[in-house]
Parts: sequence; C-alpha cells; structure tokens
Amino acid sequence: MVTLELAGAVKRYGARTALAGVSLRLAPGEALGLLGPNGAGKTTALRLLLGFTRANAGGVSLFGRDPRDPASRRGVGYLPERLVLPERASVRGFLQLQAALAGIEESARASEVEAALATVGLAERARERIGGLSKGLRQRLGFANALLGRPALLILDEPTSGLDPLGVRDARAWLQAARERGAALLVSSHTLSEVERTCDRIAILDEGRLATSGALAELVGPGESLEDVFVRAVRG
Amino acid sequence: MNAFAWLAREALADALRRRIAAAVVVAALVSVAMLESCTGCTPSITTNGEVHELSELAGPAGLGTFVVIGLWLIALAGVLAADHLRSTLEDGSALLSLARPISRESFALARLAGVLGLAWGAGLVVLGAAAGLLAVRSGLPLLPALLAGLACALGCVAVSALAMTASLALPRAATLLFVLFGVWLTGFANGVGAFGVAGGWLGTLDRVGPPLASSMALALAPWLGPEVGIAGDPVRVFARLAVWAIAAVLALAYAFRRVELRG
Repeated sequence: MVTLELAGAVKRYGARTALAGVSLRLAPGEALGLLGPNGAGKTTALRLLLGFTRANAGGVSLFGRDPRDPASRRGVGYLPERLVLPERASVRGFLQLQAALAGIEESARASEVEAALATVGLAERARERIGGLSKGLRQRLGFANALLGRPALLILDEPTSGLDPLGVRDARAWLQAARERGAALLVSSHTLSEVERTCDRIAILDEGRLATSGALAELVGPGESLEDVFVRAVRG
Repeated sequence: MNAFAWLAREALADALRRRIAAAVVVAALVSVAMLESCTGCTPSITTNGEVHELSELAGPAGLGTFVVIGLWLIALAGVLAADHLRSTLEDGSALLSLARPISRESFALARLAGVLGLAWGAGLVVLGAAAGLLAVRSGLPLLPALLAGLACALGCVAVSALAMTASLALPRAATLLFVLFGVWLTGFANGVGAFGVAGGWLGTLDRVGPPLASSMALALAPWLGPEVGIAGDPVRVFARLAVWAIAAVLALAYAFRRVELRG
C-alpha cells in the first residue's frame, strides 16, 4: 500500500494557487525530501496530507484513506515548522497527553513516553516545565512527540530548525533508526545538506508545481551538488 | 482516560490559566459576599403608610437576583468561548493535536467542555450560594433554583457554542460584542416578554430566540407565589432552550469541520 499520495492535487487560497496539480507518492520505508523556495507550496502539501485543509481538485490519500478521516493519521508522527508547545505543561505531561491522542494503549503509554524521552535525551528533564526549555530542547521534545508510538510515517517540516550541530547529528540518527524499522519519511526543508543525508528521493516544488522529482542518485550528476539540481529546477 | 477526556482536561486547564479566570473567581466571591449580606438584613419598607417586611419581597428579589447572576454566567461562558478555540488555531497549538487520529468534532467539543467546566464551576458556587442563602434565610424552596440552575447550564452551552462558532469567522472583538450584546438583548426581550408587552422583532426574539432569562424565570416562578404568574409554558420554553443548545453544538461541530487550518 502507498503510504501517502498526492494525485494532481490543486489548492487555491482565493485567487492565489498554492498547488497546481502536484503528484507525489511515498511507499513504506522510503524517505522523500520536499524542497522548494519560500512559497513554493511545500507547507500546503503537508497541510493537505494531514487533513488540515481540503484540495480543490485532485486526490490526496494517507495510508489509502482521505486524510480528513482521523483514522488515516493513526500511524503518523508530525513535527511542524512552527512548534507551539504548552508552556506550563511538564515535558512528560505533554508527551503523556500526546500519547493518549495518538491512540497508544493505556498500558503502553508510560513506556512509550519514557522511550521517546530517552531517545531524544530529555529523560533527565522530564519533570521540568516546557516554558523553561531552550529552543533546541523544545525541538528535541518536538521530535520525541513525532517519534511517539513508533509511527509508520514521519512528516517533518524543517526538522533541524533550532538544533545545534550535535542535535542535528542526533536527529539524523533518530531518523535513520526510524527508517531501519520501516518508517517512511517526508521531510520538508531548506537545509539541502540534511535532505541529502536523510532522504533517498527528492521532489522540488516551484510556484505550486512539481519542478522535478526522482531518486537523488539519478538527479545529482557527477560533480554536481543537490544545490545545483535545486537551482536548475527552480531557475531553469 | 480516553483522548476526548485528555483534551477536555487540557482545555479546562487552559481556561483556568487564563487571566479572566482570576477575575471570574473574584467576581464569584464578591457575588457570594453580596448575597450573604443582602439576605442577612431584615429591613421593612413603608409604602403609602403601609409597612412591608423584606421577607415578603424575598421571592421577587430572589428571582431577579438569580436571573441576573444566571445571565452574567451565561455571558461569561460566551466571553470565555470567544477565543478558547480560536486562539489554539491562531498560535498553532491545535495542530499537534489535530495531526493525531482525533476528529475535528472531538477537538472543538473538548475546547467547549473546558469553557463549560469553568463557567459551570463558577455557576455552581454562586447560584448554589444564592439558592442556599435564600432557602435558609427566606424559606424559598430549592427545587425551582435547581431547575433554574439547569436552565442556566443549558444557556451556557448554547451561548458558548455559538460564540465559538462565531469566533471561527469573526474577529475577537466582534465575537465579544456579539456575545455581550446578544445575551443582553435576549435577556431584555425575555424580560419584556414576561410582561406580555414584547412585539415586533423583540417579540420574535423572545418567542423563537434562546430563552436565556425566561427559562430561569419560569423555573423560579413558584418563588412568586400562586397569585403571580409569568407568561409562558415552562416545558416548551425548556425544550426550546435545549433545541438551541443542541443546534449550537452541532453548528460548532459543522463549522470547525470545515475550517481550513494553517500550519
């Protein structure tokens, strides 16, 4: 079964067309990097896939279902670009809430929360209030939230934002571990080097259209970088 | 605890953390203190040489006080609701929950439950104190107060759900005005209607609008004694209030389902 799919998806906000017939597919275990300049339609694509908004035309599916069907999001871990966390909640309390919302069995919630905390290195700070965490630690907490319950699909929007070099390295390891257990990744990012290290396929959007897509190994020619491919796709 | 209960608990905690919650607590305590003071005195009133003990007026005074406090609580629920859902969309905090296998309806109703938890809590304290003091000091029966309290609770549901629905389309200030003016106008129409003098659009509002004040007044009618009546059939008025509450909740669920979330 395809993990997620956009089939000629069109999304308009008033007179502005954010997505103009974009098609993407992601199979289990694959990692797709979604690239594009600001305003290219990356976030809109993620919104469609998470059921936050509805396509004006075309098809959108998540695990074979309409993303607006809550059941389709059962195996999804999401890390938004603008991570808003409850300042007064404790680190552990927040994850306990999210574990309940994720549909993790009550008997397994505590162990899943502790496992996620340990993975991102926040076990020692589990009792602290989120308001007291630095930006980097909040991003780690965002990762812990996305990784809760070992989801089959991770949708990550600028995942390394706010992380220091060690955090970036750790994040790469978490994503690698997720892939090794069979999870699919959809990573929207401006950090081309990270996408290059994390993903095996890329899709470059420009002005709401799919400028290019394919396996990294095929798109990046000898002596070229991903940046060259990006510039060529966007500027022609 | 299921996901809805977690969300509702979180929504109630959010409501309690808001600055307005402190104002609600203070206002509730002041109201109770005033009720304690007002029901504690026993003055007599002389009208055209005829002396009346205040205890004779306990019924109408109690009814008026109860209805005014009830309307205040209903307006409070609406004010709280005016941005309790909208703020989670504006700051993006709703998205982490809505990316989970949670229906839009569950999320919106949990936010509504958070508002109602605070408003009903305040209502329980203030209306409970009013009913208790009036029962102990003036001998007024408790059952009408209980029914009026239920009417107030239903009114809170109707107004807060409508306020949340409106907040999805209107700016915050406009939603607040809609709530405050709407509750005042409906209460006024009900008040005029109780004397059978409401006509025109005011009469229409009294007859088909949410009977926020008239449902409480009709429940408390036994406090006025057998010789004084309030216009209206209590069962039909209660049924109309219940219909408004259900319709408002359904409208909220429908509107929130259609909202485009900006992540």
